[in-house]
Amino acid sequence: MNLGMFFALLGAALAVGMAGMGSSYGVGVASEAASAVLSNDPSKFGKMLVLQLLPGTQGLYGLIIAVMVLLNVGILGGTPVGDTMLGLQYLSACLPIALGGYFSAKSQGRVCAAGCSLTAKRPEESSKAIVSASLIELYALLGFIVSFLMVINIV
Amino acid sequence: MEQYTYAAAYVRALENNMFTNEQLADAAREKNTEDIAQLMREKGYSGGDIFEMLDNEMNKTWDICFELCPGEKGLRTLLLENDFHNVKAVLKATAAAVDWHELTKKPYLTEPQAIADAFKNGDYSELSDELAEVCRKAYAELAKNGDAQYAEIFLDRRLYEMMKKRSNENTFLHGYTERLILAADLKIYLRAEGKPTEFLEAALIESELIDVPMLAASDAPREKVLKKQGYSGAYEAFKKSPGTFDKWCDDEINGYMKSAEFSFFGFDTVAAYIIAKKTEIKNLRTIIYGRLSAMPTEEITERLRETYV
Repeated sequence: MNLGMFFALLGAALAVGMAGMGSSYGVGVASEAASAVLSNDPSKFGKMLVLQLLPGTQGLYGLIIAVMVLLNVGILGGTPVGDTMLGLQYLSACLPIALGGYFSAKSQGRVCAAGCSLTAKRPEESSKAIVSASLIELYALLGFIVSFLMVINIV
Repeated sequence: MEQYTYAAAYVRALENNMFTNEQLADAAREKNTEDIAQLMREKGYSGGDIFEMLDNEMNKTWDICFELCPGEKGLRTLLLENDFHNVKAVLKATAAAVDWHELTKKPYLTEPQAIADAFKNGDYSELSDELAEVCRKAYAELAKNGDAQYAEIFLDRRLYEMMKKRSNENTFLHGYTERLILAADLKIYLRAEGKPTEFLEAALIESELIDVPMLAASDAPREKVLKKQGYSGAYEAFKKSPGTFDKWCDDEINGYMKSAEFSFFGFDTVAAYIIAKKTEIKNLRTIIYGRLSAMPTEEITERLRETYV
């Protein structure tokens, strides 16, 4: 394997790995809080599920970028990337979603866990908890869009 | 920081079953204790008679919190209050040669029987070193003065010193302990009018919320001294009645508890829940005793403490 391919694969690995790590942490924290609430009141399952799922989206964004990189660099078929600079470009393109996804998913998990507590106490305010968590989603989306634009424009 | 994510969310869900100020006022308006017991059952209280329901609820609260936060030092710090209550109860009962079994609180860190045996036999070896020293000195204090008040002041002082030492790592518990000390200092200061300065110096506990050396040294009227320190409300309440003053102290503590409402991950939420449950049970006890003694509803309502929820 040449160095260009190595950097491109490293980028894909970071995109899916870091965003996935953030998401698993975020979903874990939110689910912990949701389980506590559900053990007292199982009727809140629907509201809890939304809050549990929200921090999971970053992992999906990372996966999309990683698949796009793998398709472009020819590891799944076609001509493999041979140029080191091209590999570094793919690596750079993966960083926005890798870093943005990791940190935003962690923060979102905390907000969602707090949202579970809020919903437990004031079920009528659950939409506000979802809106608060969605604000963080914006930054994961920005990372995803930038990574996406970079990957599709690498020649 | 997420150590107690599950515990905090669990407790938040439980808070929905707590009595609000309005619901307590409704309970105070009930005509008899059976109707009050019914309201309590709707909130999850269980047990035979109404007083057993109160005890069961407090025990259940401690059990839940121990289950949620196993090995949490903060719980042991909060339990010190029960242990010291038991020391006071057993000491006074031993001195008066009456039975203490109905006077102790559960749960505890030290078996009340061990405390009673220590006082009876003068052998404190079964107690922890810290508690043994406290019990020995409290007993000596009672024997020297023949007045339980001095022993009680000594025990309160030791309790708060121990709580303060143990709550250093937890800002919330530290704040709670400081408010307990403030209440104790104000109580001593206001009730000790006419007593020598040496008494105040020995009895008052070092506090971050009130200037203790100034309290002990000042000859000025208590109203002025407390106004200067920002506690004129305490003086006004004390002037009205001892009960109003106790309510003022409890409301100060309960007001502080509300800061835990903004915590979603720490032990604060659990600690606040235990303290809030204690207040709820105290309020229900006030209502029940008020109803049993045919006290007017307004009078009962006036005595109720602010709730956490």
